[in-house]
Amino acid sequence: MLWQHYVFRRGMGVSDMWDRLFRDRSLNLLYIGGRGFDPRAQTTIEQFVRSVSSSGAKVDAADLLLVGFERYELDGDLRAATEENAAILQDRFSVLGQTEVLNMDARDEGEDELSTSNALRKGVEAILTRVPGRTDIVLDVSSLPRVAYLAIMTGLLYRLVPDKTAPNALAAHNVNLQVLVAEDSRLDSVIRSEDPNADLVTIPGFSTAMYAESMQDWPMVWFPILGENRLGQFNMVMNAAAAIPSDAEICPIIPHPSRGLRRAERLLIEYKPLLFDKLQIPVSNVLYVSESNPFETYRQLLGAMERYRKSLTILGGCRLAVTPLSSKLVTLGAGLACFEMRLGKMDDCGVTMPYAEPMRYVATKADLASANSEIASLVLTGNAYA
Amino acid sequence: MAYRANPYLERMSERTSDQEFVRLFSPRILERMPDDAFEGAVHVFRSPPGGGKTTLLRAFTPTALKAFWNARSVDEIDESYQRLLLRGVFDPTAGPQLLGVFLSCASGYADLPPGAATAQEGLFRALLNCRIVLRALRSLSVLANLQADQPLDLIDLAYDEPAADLRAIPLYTNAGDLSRWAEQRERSVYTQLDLISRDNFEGTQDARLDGLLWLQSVRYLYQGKTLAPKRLLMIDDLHRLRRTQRALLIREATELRPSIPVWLAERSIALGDELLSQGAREGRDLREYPMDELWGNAKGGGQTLTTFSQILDRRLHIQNLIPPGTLSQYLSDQLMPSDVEEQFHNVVALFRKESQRLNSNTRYKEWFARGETMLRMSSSRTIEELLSLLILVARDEARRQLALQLEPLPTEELELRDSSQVQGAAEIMANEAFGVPYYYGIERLCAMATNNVEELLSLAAALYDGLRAKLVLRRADLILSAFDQEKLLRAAAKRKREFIPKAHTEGTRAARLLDAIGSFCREKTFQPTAPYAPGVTGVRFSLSELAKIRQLRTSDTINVLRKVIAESVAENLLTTRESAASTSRESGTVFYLNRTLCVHYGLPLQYGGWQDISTQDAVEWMEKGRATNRFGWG
Repeated sequence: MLWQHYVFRRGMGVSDMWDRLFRDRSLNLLYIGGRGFDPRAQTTIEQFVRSVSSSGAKVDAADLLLVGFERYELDGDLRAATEENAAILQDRFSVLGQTEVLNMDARDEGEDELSTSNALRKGVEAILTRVPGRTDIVLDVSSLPRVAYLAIMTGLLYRLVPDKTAPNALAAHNVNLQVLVAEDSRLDSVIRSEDPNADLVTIPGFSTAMYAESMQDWPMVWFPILGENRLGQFNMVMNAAAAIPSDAEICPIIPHPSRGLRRAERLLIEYKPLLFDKLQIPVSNVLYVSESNPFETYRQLLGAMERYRKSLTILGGCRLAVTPLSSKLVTLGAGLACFEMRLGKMDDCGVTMPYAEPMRYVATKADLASANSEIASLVLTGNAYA
Repeated sequence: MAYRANPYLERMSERTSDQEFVRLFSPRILERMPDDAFEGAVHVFRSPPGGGKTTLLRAFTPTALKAFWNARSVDEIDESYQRLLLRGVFDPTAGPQLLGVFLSCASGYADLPPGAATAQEGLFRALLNCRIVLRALRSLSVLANLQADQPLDLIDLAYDEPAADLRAIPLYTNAGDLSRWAEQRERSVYTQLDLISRDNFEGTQDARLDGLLWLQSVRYLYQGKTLAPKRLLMIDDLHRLRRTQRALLIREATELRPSIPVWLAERSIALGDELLSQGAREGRDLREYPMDELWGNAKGGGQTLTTFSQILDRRLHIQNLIPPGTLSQYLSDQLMPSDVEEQFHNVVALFRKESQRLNSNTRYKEWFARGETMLRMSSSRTIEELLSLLILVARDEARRQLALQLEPLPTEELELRDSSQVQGAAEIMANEAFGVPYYYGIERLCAMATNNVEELLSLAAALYDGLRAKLVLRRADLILSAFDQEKLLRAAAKRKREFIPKAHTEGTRAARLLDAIGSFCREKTFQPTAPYAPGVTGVRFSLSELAKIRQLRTSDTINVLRKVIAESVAENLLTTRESAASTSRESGTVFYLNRTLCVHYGLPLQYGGWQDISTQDAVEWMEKGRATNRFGWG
């Protein structure tokens, strides 16, 4: 297990950790953020810049890369919020360095729209060209769509940890990769995502197990991570052609324990007609993961995946599919588990992350203004593991 | 008490075992399949999702064929088996003779890296070629009854003359060797695809669809016998390909002039995408089959009713909560006088009010006198007749303003002017204004499905839930009244409407456009004169309006409208019918509302009533919605 010991801080602990991480050190920083409407990114960047400035670090170079998307349908308010957010982020970061915008859509010449998977691949490729020479890479997922931050995080990890069996693999030549999240599960649940794309997205690096004909006869175990108001996306993934076969073992993942004490119960009620009435999934298949600690989610999920892999080897191999529909921290934990499983040998197991991407986000100005988030930081590689 | 699953909730093609599949499969579709669909050519099957494409294709896969074969002596399977026997799919002694190779285009082809056209096409062909080989060999092991521990190496391969020309596929004489080659080749393509930075695909590009030529020229030998001499290549979900990939596949498959049938299945298409390739001749090389015609279309409604009833009844047989029988016997198809007493009194009150208003007018004296004679018996039929009479009076009043004819109208004239359309309008108005049930009975249930099996099943699932609830509540009469049915079906229709934004890529706009069309149709339908009896359920774009929508280099909103309409047709939310030109109007295409959505908007279920709209109307409706007006007697 790569992150048997891990560094995870939240709230006040994050600033303390940054103080120690950056103290009296030279920094060549790449800060990747979203050019989205979510105002939580402002809090994160503000605290980060303040910590770096006060830590006495010598900033050799610092670049803010704002990853933007034009493919989503937003109403006028959200579009204005996106522009305002981008200006504020650029302004706050100007103390440390320059800002660059990277658009992750773009069309292909003479083609239909570029598929999301291909757009993500191109985007990650462009980000990776900016990695060499960096001492610190920060990925702030606060205003990034789920598929984007999963693709970027796993893409960076592939680059920094190419071989998990290498000694001190996570030291990654002392490149500190940390993922920042401004978590506010209330705001997450009021931002409505609609119009799921009929074409499934697979996170780059995780498509083989989904599509390879030579693996189609292997049994599939599907771990959908349940979130509020995601039934449309859940259905879309389940019913998409060539996605989840009828004989797949389905193990729903529910965030529990959680801040909202009845959250798990509400989710079970929301998904009951589909999971238990229609698909008749045994209740014992349900997995519970911590809502607030992504490394716990990672451990639980990785453990379950390993157990299935071992049990199903006798059938030639298995395919493990994870569909993250829940909040950011749980999604990050699931992404880490998939990354680690994917790094193993592929001759008896394949890992995939199918997802139905919503094309429209709906939220009111008042909802966004009332964001009350707590910052969390996951340090994934670097000095802490050396 | 244990609650069993609803037998109508499962989609047949994708979530049932082969044994269940063959039990639920309706042999009617085999009966209606044209003979030439089994000839060497490219055949395209089209329908909205749930229209039965995958069901049809799955019936020809080796596992399904074996399930048909093994259960051939079972009564409910016999008809399907006999039809397959007639098609030469089975030999009465040797079993399945056809190797159906089934592939889906949803398997990541659209995610192949974009780039130079030749590289992209080469990679697409390479992936398709090795998948045809892999799926064929795996399917073969099923037909040969190979056990899990028996390798494919037991099967020998031999080739006919055309195979000498193959370049992309090695001519191994052993199935195991070829399978390993194909696995390795596919893995090497995917290893490249899964790398974030990819630049070298040269080793994995094919110049031709050799997989198709291989499939038609290879012979399989097992224990000295030839296996599966007949072949069928089935490629599903063509709409999942990129536009260029789809065009390439159709063009190259057609140009190869295959000697085996190649079945391509895709969603219905509206507003674009020419199917024919250069040099290919429709009829000989490439043939199209709309699935709704195979199920029995609007013209052959009787067929649809029979086929759909059979599908519903087969599902009912796999459960044991409700006593066995047909679904129709659990659905009341008539209204008793006592059911509509209150509604009858309200209609009588309206009739009297109108009669009083026109009391001084001698012109309708005889008509109203005739109406008075009907009031003796309260029945749904009387309600319709009274409302028909009021519609005809309203029509005559409107016409009189122009004609100024004052002589009284004889009762014979009333009968002459009354028609099935007027009665149809009266029936839906009785539902709209007085709450007399309209959406009930097996016939209307099948009409609501819009020629789509999946929709039929989801509606039937709602009714089954109603029956189950009756059982739980220990109700003595296990039959759903017309009121019960209408309530359940309206709730199902509402759910369908509410799910549109959550289930479609342009769902929010599509929902807005459909709501606007619904409101427009209601406005036109529920006028006292019922001018488009029985009602309007669709909108039409004339040829010149369609040309505006089809224009590729046009404004963004028109592009979005094109996408929304195309997606709505592909998802069966709208269905299209061509409308011919007349002396006063040019030809065009009518976009009818999905029939379940008609239930949601309270519209009749018949086709035929439409009104022209402009592109500008549609754009405004899609972006801003449409204000609703009050109308009718309500």
